[in-house]
This record gives sequence, C-alpha cells and structure tokens, in this order.
Amino acid sequence: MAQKAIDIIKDDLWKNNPVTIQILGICSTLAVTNIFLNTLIMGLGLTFVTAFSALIISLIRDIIPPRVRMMVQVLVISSFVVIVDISLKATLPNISKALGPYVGLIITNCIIMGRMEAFASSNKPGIAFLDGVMTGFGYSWVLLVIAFFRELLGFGTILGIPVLDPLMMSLGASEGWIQWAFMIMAPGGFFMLAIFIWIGNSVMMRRKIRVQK
Amino acid sequence: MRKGLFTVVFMVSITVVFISVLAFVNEISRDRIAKNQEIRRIRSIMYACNIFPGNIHETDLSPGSTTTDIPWDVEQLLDMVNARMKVVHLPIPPSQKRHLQNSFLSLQDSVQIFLIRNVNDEIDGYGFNLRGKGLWGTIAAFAVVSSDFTRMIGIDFTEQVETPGLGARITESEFKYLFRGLNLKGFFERQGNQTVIDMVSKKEKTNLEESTNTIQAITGATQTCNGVLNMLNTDLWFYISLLRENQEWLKKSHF
Repeated sequence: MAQKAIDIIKDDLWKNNPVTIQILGICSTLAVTNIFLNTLIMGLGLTFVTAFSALIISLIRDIIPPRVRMMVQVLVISSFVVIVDISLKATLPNISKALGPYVGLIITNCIIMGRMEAFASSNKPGIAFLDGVMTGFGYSWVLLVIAFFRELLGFGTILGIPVLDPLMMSLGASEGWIQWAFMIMAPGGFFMLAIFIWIGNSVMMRRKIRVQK
Repeated sequence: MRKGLFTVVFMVSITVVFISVLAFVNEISRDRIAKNQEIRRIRSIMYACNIFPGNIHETDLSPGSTTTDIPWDVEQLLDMVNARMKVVHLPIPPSQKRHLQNSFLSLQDSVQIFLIRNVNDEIDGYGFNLRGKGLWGTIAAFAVVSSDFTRMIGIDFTEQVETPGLGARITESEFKYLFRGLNLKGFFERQGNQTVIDMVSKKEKTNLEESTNTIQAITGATQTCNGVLNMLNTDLWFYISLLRENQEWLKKSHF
C-alpha cells in the first residue's frame, strides 16, 4: 500500500505528469499562466476538484450503473467545480473576476475525467483521493513554473511585486524593464510549455540512458 | 427492466443529492457574494468620480493596476458613497429613442443618473452606465462627466471579456487615466452620427494637461478600442443631451 502510494506520487508529479507527459489540460495551461497568483488559485481549485471527485467516484464505484458512469462522473466533477466557483466569488472576489470563465471551465479539463475513468473508478477511496491530490499537484507545479517566467518577463513582477523594473533601473536602464508583451499573450504560453516539455523529456531520457549503461 | 429502473432511480437520487448540496452552498454564500458585487460596483464609481482613499493619488498606482488595487477600507467606501452620491431616474423622451437604435438604452424607458456632490455640497458631476460591444462580448462602463458637461471626470470599465493582456488592458489605470479631462464640447454641436471622441496611437500629453477629444489606443487591441470608442460616441451624446435638458430639475432634486 505504501509502495503504491509512493509510485502514485512519483508518477503524478514527474514520470507520468498530466501536462508534460500526458499532454492534458493544455487549454488552461496557456490561458491562466500569465499571472502567478491566478495560476496558484487555479491549481488549488483543480486539485480540490480532482481529489474530492476521485474520492466520491471511488466510494460509489461499485453501485454506479456502467451505462451512466460518464454522466455520474460529469455530475460529480461539475458539482465540485460549482462549489469552487461560488467559494471564490464569496471569499476572493478579485481573483474570481480575474480568472473569469476559466474556473467554470475546470469541468472540461480532460485531466479530471481522465483520472476518474483511469483510476478512481477502479481503486479504493484512500488511494483514489491521493491520486487526485497528486494529479492536481503535478498539474499545478508545471503551471506555476510557467507562470513564474511569464509574469516575470511579461510584467516584470512576481506575485504583483515589481522586480525587474527596479533591477533594470539600478543597472542604469532609465526606462526600466520593457515588458515582453509576447509572454503575456497565448503564444508565450505555448513556447514556455514547449520549452518545459523539452527540458523535462531531455532530463528523463538522460536518466534512462544512464540507467541502461 | 429492473436494471433500467435502477439506473433511472440511481441517476435521479444522485442528482437530487448533489443539487441539494449546491443549493445549500449557494444559499449560505448568496449574501456575501451580493455584498462583494456591490462593493466592486462602488469601487468603480469612486474611481470614475476621481475619489481615492486618504492620501492615495492615482499617479502613485502602477500603470497596470486596476480598481481592485486601490486600498479602500470597506466602511470608509460605504460612508463615502452615502455622503457624496444620490441616484435619480430620468425618463427617456420618445423623441430621443429613435437615435438609440444601436444602444442598450433603446430597451429602457428611463436611465439611472448618479449625482456626485463635492465637499461644498455642490453637484460636481453626473455619473451613468455605458454599454457597448467589444471584440468578444459586452463592454460595460461607468462614466462621470463634469456638471457643465464639457469634460469627463473619469471612467471605469466594469465588465469586459476581452483578450487578457490586450483588450482586457482597458481596465488598467494607464488606459483609463487618459480619459480624465477628455473634452466633450463636441457633443454640444454634434451633427447626425458625427464622431466626437477619437482615438490616436500616441498622446504626448494627457487630457488633464491639455484637454482634447482624443484618447490613446492600446497596441494590439484595435477592435476593443473601437468598441470603446463607439460606446462613448453613441451613449455619451445621448446622456449629455438628456442631462442638459433636465439640468434645472436635477439641481433641484439633489439632496
């Protein structure tokens, strides 16, 4: 059991990462990663939805009629997404506004349905919940790395705090940091994601070669 | 037959359970969400009225900041709006409705006007809602014009679904600041659908330094900026005409 849990953690965070290896959830990866804080909230929201949806689906997996299993999964996932949406509107209205429709679109994120079908519906609740959490973390950390660079280069800030502007001015650049508008737009997300996948796959391949040797 | 019945009963039961949970969550959050939306609306109004908390100046804010970045205390905000604002409704004369075909105002019989008073209890300006079409959807704004209708005091964009980083930048301080002091005298002598407010690629001076009828466009957001422009040229003309006709009544009805 413990070994299975460790395998799940390793797989979801790195070896079988939902974004870089399975190439799932790309839409939100490109859409929300121009601001670090928004990405953090999005990641936490998706983790919550995936974990608790997996828990519920796993708990009722033996009584779900096979013909309606997808409908039940969508019902459960969308219920948790609505809870996240309402909670954000009530507690963090500014971030809810900034994220806009992307919170509701968590329902369409293929990562969640994929884990429900592939794991939660055929595993015990505890391990399904862990898988949900780690899938969410695996998705989140990739997005956060991308968001860090996109916000830094696109706005010159980290978590809204100006970083590059004062740095450039202290180095003598009178105009401060000239924002890379490209990084704020979707193509910036495409390129960052591609670079990330390239680096990740290169590291994994080198490790494989070393192991084989 | 039994399997089918079980499937139906199961689906109905699980749907009822989850809908009940959602209804409960919605119910306990409803008041708080409504309050957040109201506070957001009031923040926009205060920004458009060029009213800031304490000793905060707009020029202290970063160019990319939005209304939500202004550090208002909620109690202070509510006290301020109660002290300096009054809402009245003006009916839309039938004779003017024919000019409003392309505006959201054509669907209304009256409009909401916010009377903004200064610390000396005089009307400082008039605020009202604007609505137009952007690239991806509706753009809504709240604008305030001076009491003599010759210039704009401020504007805030309350709703938009434009491209983040491009059209969505209309909510940023850098773009909105250039509306302050915008010259509106052209609306007094407007002929037909003549464009009064125009957009340029680069403004050397702000409208507070030198009042003109131009605002600066956002690079890469042409469609959004055109939407803003059309919204201003259509709705501002109507509001200014209506307010000028009812100026005496408005002065009597305030406070």
